[in-house]
Amino acid sequence: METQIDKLEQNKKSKEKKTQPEKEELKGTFAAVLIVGGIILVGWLGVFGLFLERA
Amino acid sequence: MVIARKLDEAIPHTPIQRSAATLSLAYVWVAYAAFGLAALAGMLQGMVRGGIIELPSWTNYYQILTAHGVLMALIFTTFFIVGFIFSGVARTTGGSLHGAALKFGWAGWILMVTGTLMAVVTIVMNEASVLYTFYAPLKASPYFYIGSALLVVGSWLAGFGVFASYRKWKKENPGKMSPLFVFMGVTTYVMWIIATLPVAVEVLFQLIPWSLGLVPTINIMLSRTLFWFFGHPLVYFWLMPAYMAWYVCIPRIIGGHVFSDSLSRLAFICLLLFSIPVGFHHQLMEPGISAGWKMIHVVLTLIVVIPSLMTAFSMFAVFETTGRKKGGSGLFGWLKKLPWTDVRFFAPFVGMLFFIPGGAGGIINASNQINAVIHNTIWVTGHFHITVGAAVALTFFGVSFWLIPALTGRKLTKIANRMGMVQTVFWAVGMFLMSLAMHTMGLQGAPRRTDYTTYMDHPTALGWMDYQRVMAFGGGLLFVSAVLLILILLYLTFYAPKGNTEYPIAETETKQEVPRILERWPVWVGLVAFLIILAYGYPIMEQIQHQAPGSPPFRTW
Repeated sequence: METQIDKLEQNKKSKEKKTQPEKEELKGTFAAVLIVGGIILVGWLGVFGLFLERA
Repeated sequence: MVIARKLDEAIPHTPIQRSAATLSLAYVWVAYAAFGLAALAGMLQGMVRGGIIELPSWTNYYQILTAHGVLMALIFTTFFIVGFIFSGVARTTGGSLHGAALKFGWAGWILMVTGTLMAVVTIVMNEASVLYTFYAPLKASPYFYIGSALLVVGSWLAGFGVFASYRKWKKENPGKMSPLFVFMGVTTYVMWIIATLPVAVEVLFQLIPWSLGLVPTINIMLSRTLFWFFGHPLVYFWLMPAYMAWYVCIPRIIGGHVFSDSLSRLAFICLLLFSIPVGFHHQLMEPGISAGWKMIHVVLTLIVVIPSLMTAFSMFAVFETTGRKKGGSGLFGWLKKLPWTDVRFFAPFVGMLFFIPGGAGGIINASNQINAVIHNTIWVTGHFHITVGAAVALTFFGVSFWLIPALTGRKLTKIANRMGMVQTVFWAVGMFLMSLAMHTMGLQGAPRRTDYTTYMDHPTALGWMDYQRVMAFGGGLLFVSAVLLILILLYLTFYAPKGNTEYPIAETETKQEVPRILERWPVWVGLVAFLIILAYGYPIMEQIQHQAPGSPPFRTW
């Protein structure tokens, strides 16, 4: 049987849930940050290759 | 959001009271006056270096190079940043600045303008062609250094004005987290004041007595170390206000929300912690600092990449969530839903795109071994033109298109918006061509900071000439863009129709709990002090104890 305290707890939990953002789809963001990471990696490796060639 | 303001004191149609708006506008317009002169000097520089024109005998390349660097990198940026932060603090704390903040603001403006005039006059008189890094043993007139000191002290006063507003807001709102914009403004100034202390020491105790002839020589190693203690955080002083616009203003412009309040604040705390103890990555090729200390600074530099990557993630997330709510679908379909014809979004977005290769280049510069490939080459010039000259500058332009009419109670008209789009395209194309040529030449070994030369017709140097001309052409496009920008901003200040222009401040979609520790300043300032002592304490002590013979002053121009 639900007690008054349980109900209060549930209300509190549902309020807490509302303060969090809804679950959002961020697969495009994930792809975009991978592209940024790729650019960083390619640039770094490219100049490192020049360094090795000239060393 | 309701903004409290007394109608009799407010300019009609503006979200900010007249007194605060006038102060902000005073800073912003000094910034753009400096920007105009700097753009002219920059264009001439590109033309000379590209072998297209020759300067008359009464001036020289290094004089206009100094004018361009000082006016663009130090004066334009600092004045704009101070004006922008004051306006945003007023906007988010009730629409006004109170007495103490205004007094600090105007006192800072007077000191900064006085310092700027002193520096500009000495440069024009050819008494200070020491470039914007003012490295010893090149010696400028003492008035140049005194002017620089006044500029820095003036910016501190402006910072105290923001701290005063912050304190007042906290007193009136006990237990609440400060508005995001104010928090970011305070973090920026805390970082700036800590970072400028050593350059103030360099100027007051090394450069001024030496340039006055009170001491015969100067400790070069120490002066360079103190400069770069300040020099790298200077880059973050440019970037953090641009990030403020990205985190807080852009989401509102595109009809979205701040992605995460906690993430935004944490990114700024990381910038506060890690942007200062990193200066040796500018000194990787210098003797007098051991490899171990350089490595510590390189590691800390690579840590400061993290808040920038957090910012990149956060911006993509804002764009995606907003674009999807407007019906965008697929992996990148949400991009189509962004307001591409709104210059308030378009200009900063183009700036963000430039920051991707800019950040990648920064990681290359900071890596100990491969720094040898690009050190002191024109690659570095290309690098800071796509970071501060594109990412930061385009964001500041995008902000100006709404900030100035919001401050003057005028409207950003359709025609001004369209001209702003054209101006942005010119700037982007010019900067792309110029910086691409600079990066390419730099990888081939072309030095930076040199007048036109073919190195006695050496075949390698002759091979750079086509790139030099592309660089000059890019500089020409940038100058056209700069002129257009000033005309648009004059129109928005004096001639645009009266009306409402929004001061865009975004909020989170739902209430988000923010960890209280993010606003416990003693914790963060203590940690900054610890990191600084760790990274700089021993090396600076060594540079003082085991000094190499000092250098007398040199005048090479």
